[in-house]
Amino acid sequence: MSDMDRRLEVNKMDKLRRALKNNDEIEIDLDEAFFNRLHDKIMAQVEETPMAAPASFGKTRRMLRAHWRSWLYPAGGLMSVILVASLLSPLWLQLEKTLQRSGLLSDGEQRIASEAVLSLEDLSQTLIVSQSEADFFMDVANNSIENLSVDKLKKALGKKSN
Amino acid sequence: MQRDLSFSDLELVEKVKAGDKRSFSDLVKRHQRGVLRLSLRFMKDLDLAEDVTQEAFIKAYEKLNSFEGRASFKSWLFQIAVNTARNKLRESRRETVDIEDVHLAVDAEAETNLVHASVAELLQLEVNKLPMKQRTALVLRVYEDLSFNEIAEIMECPYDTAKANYRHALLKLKQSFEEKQELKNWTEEVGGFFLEMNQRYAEAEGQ
Repeated sequence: MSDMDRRLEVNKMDKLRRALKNNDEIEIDLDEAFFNRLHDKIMAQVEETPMAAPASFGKTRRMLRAHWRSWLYPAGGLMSVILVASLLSPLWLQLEKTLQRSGLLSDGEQRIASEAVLSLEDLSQTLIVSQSEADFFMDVANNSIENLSVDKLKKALGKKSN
Repeated sequence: MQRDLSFSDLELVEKVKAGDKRSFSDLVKRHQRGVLRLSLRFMKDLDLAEDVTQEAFIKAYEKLNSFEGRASFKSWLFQIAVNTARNKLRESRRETVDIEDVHLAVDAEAETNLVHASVAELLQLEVNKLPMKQRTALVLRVYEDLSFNEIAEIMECPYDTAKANYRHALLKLKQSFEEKQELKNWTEEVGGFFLEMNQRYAEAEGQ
């Protein structure tokens, strides 16, 4: 829309506004007696009506309402999330520890460790059953190599010792 | 009726808050005409408008402690009156029509009768067809000469929303008048409805 069109549009709108205003059908040509009576009726009711005490959160509510589309709600939401998270984090850590201790939430190692503490016999049985023959010989060989002296090693490799 | 012009609205409000009920009487005297006129625009019936006016003042008195003077007392009072009128219309809607779509039940026959109604009545009919928010913005701007800031306070909405509601109301009215203008036969039957409209425009322009 060009500036000219916009000006014409505004002009038309203004004409319409003035036409509406000029054709205002509501005219209160009521006499003073009517308004005196209305005033007296209102004041009679006011005499019987207690004034409400100011709401304790009235100021906050009005501020929230005034800024409902502004920065206050997103910022408040973010702050609330951070606050709730910081309040809940120690509780969560404590809960996690409890669950791990009871074996409800743990990785394999921790679970075996907690089981072992509770029943050492069961653990040894489990380990023996799960060990194969190959594992056994590998353990022996490993142990022998670890305890092998330098001389014995050279001898095994066919070298002369000094 | 004597009016106490020596105190501002805010000063009178403070006196009422301090326990001086007579100051509220001054506020009633000052604003009852405006509130009644505004209520009448929505209710279309003097008795109902009177009820809305009374209720608005009573509510204002009850809640006076929550009025902090950010807006003018008049805007605050008008806000209460508009809300009260809207609630009353909602109550009657349960028995009759949708308030957000307050279309007067005008059937073909009734519309033919309206052909012979005055320009003011026809305009008012079109205004009444507007959705409540647009109608409120239009009424407050055109008939009550309030600023958009005041309208926003009364309608409890941002400034731009108040302005948009007013603009949409005027656009709808313009569109509706133009549509009627296209119905040439009908406009001729009206007895120069648009001729009269144009005359009014010219008069308005001359002012």
